[in-house]
Amino acid sequence: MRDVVVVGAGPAGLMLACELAVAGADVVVLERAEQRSPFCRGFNLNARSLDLLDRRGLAERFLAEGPKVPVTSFGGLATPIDLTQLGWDHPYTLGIAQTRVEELLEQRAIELGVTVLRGHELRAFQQDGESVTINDGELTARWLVGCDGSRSTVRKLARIPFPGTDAANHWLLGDVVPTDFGAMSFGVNNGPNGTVVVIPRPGYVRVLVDDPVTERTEEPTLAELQSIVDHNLGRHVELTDPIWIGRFSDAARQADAYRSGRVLLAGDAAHIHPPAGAQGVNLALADATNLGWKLAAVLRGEVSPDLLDTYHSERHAAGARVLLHTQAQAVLGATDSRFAPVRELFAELGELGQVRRYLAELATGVETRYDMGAPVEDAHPWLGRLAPNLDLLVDGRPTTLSRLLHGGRGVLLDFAGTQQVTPWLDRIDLVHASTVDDTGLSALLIRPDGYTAWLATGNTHQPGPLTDSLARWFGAPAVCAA
Amino acid sequence: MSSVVVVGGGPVGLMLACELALNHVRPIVLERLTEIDRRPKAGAVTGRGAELLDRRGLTPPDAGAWPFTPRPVHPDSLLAKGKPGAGHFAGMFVLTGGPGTVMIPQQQLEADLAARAVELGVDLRRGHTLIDLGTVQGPDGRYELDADWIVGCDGGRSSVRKLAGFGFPGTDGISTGYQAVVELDDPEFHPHGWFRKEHGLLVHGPMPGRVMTLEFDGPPPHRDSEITREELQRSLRRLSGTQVQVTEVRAVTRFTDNARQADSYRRGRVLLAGDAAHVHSPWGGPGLRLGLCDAVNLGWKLAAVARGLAGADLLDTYTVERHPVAARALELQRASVALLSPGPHVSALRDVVSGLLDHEDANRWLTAAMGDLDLGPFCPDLSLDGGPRVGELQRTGRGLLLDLADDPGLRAVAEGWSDRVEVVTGRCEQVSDRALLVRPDGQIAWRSGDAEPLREQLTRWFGISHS
Repeated sequence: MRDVVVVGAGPAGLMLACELAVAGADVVVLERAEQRSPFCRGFNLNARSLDLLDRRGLAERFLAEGPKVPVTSFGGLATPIDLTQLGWDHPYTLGIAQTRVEELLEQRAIELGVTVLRGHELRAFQQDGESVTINDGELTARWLVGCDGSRSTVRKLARIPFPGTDAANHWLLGDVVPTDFGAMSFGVNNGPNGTVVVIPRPGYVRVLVDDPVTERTEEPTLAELQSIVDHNLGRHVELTDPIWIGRFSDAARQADAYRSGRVLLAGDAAHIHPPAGAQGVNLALADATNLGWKLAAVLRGEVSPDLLDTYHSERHAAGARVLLHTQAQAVLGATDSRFAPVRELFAELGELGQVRRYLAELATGVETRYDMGAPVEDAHPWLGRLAPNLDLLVDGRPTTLSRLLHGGRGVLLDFAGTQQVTPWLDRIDLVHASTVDDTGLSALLIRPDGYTAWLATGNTHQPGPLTDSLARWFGAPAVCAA
Repeated sequence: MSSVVVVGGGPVGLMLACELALNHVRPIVLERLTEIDRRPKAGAVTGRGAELLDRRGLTPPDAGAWPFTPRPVHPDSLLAKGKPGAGHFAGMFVLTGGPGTVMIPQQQLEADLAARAVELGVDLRRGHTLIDLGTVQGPDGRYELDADWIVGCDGGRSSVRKLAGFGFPGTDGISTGYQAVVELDDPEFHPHGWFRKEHGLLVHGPMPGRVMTLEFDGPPPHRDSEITREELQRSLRRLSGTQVQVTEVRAVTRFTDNARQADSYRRGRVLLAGDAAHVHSPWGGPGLRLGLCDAVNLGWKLAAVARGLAGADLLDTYTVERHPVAARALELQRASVALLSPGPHVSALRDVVSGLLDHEDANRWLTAAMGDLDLGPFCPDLSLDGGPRVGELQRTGRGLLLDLADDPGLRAVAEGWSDRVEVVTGRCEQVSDRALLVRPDGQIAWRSGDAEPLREQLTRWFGISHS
């Protein structure tokens, strides 16, 4: 029996496999497609994705691949949001194709000993109190995780409802080669009957147009795209060699439950939303890094499976926020002139420092904050948030908080040298460190996903005694031999 | 002295008439209706408008409160977290930090202003309609009226604006709304408060029987048609999803959200103020504020020109100062209506905007923009020697020279404008200036540290010296 079967070798599935493998679990990834699709959904990784990759020592591999652009966008507002003044670890958007992100993650998964089985489709499963049986006995595992995309088979077979907002707008997308690359300009091309958005790619262009057809039963074709482009522009622009003709919408849906017994969902299988600011891959990586260490701790028997319910509560809430603001961005970015005054209002307010931070944190998921058991109003701003990548001195040698998290274990940073955590030392690393810049804190408990679970400032402990937080996230104290 | 005729005896026309009279010019006010229109209109004056009412001693004694006890709103109401009078944007959140809103039904404000105008010697003619720019239809027949200056304060469909050929560009409406006070077969048909619905917006309360609806199926097809009980009932039923019956309509108005503005506020000897100069949706109640601020900006300037003390170019500062304010207000009204439109994607956008306005600097910005508060230096309501406030000293409606360092030289300079500018000597701990020249609309025209001498600013704003 395997520990975990992950269905789907996209960013969520591959990152989850890596997280589980780092924590010592035995993972197999099933991928329906024989080969990776050449279709590239997105071209960016945002700041929070890079933060999360950095907590496992992976950011460098990705940063070497593309340009760093020091802005993000919100709803297609004319002025991009400047990220340079926000004090972030990664104050930029990285230009990198999602296909390349998947290759790098798969490479890492294989390095860690994960089995990736391509051409393997999940068709059925049964679960009982102990395990999940896949495809009538083809495989058994303790846990099954559906990372199989927006039309997730796992979600459907588990009968998890997927409620939300129907699409109000549809778009056609074509990765095509124009006979004349100069026939359309990059960006928005306004024609007499509509617009055509053109995004430059190496050797081809991505063309986006409003799709006049609301209901489709068959995949759109190059001929259809060609006719809409010609109609909108009022002239013929020859498009050839389609790499991909696809369709997307501003629909937004989210799984009611991210867990059903021994079956879990992550990534697009758990939520769909209008595309904006590389949020899809961001959510996938964040879901995976939230779930991985929890599932691994359950597999090791250190914690009760109830810990997995915090995966639902934390990530469902974060996903709901993304659904909300990507829908808002879809309205702002739509061509409907009714919303032009609202765009104008955003542009004016966007000049204000607090607003810029709010929109940037929203658009990148940096705002995400989890409930650690203390009321947010009085809490230290780091509690429940991804801890900043502190510059540290440990045994006189410089290091960073990210580096301490590479092994995927929880870390107790003890600045005062006063914490007693012996019964948990099999599960977390106690690090006596000093910070380069004074934080005003005497200790910090960081979960394996990098989030601050507990902290102490002098005599004040949030959310309460350290032992409560340790027990909550890492399980009951080990019984020490006398 | 040349004559001034104000067309329209609503709050803006009457306020303007009072301002003129306080500055030695007694206008004729022509009002088409024989008595005050009792249909439901604005119920509050916000922002700078509320401050200017105070500067004329027009704030009613119980201005901060509803003139009745409002029922608590349902917790799901859009304004559940607000309190009456705090100000809102698109029914979404509470604007904080602005001056208090004056709660006053428009009819009461009109009655107060009419009484005051008559007391000040204004010739208020009810039942008189302007036919063309020189002819009036009165109750006893048609008569010629030769006016040197005509100010159109005659509302959104202003005859003055049309007769004088002002351009009125803008955007068409996309919605139809009703505001009404009704009797219903089931007064509990819907909770009190503001509610987003599948087709638009439903407002119930705060007073019993008051309803507002907003739907997005275009502007009213026939804007002059009589508003029927049936059409109001249909709108209430569509929005509430009930079969509520309107048994009696006590008062009703219908509105849309077309947003238009006169291209200039002056053409020769004709001027516009209030709704005659700008129309927009009623959400958030900007109309009274804009109109009263127009009147207080224009009155003393027109008086100085009509008296032959200042050149007509002083009136161009009226357009220069007031046109951009209304232009931005219209833009915010367009944004409000977009944010009131139905649908889940708009709900999501509202949530983002609401989160944005939880930030102090954003809230302050919008409070100022929604209240006309950021248009140059406005003299705060300072206290002199712990005694009279600037708000009280400005009740004469004239300019005010605050002589805060007992400077006989300054007082001698201002002597030549004593019919237009009051001089008050006193001390004020709250400012470091030795002297301030405050215009009748509260804007600071000159500070003791300014490079330009006082005499120039007095001449610029109040005209030639009489001595």
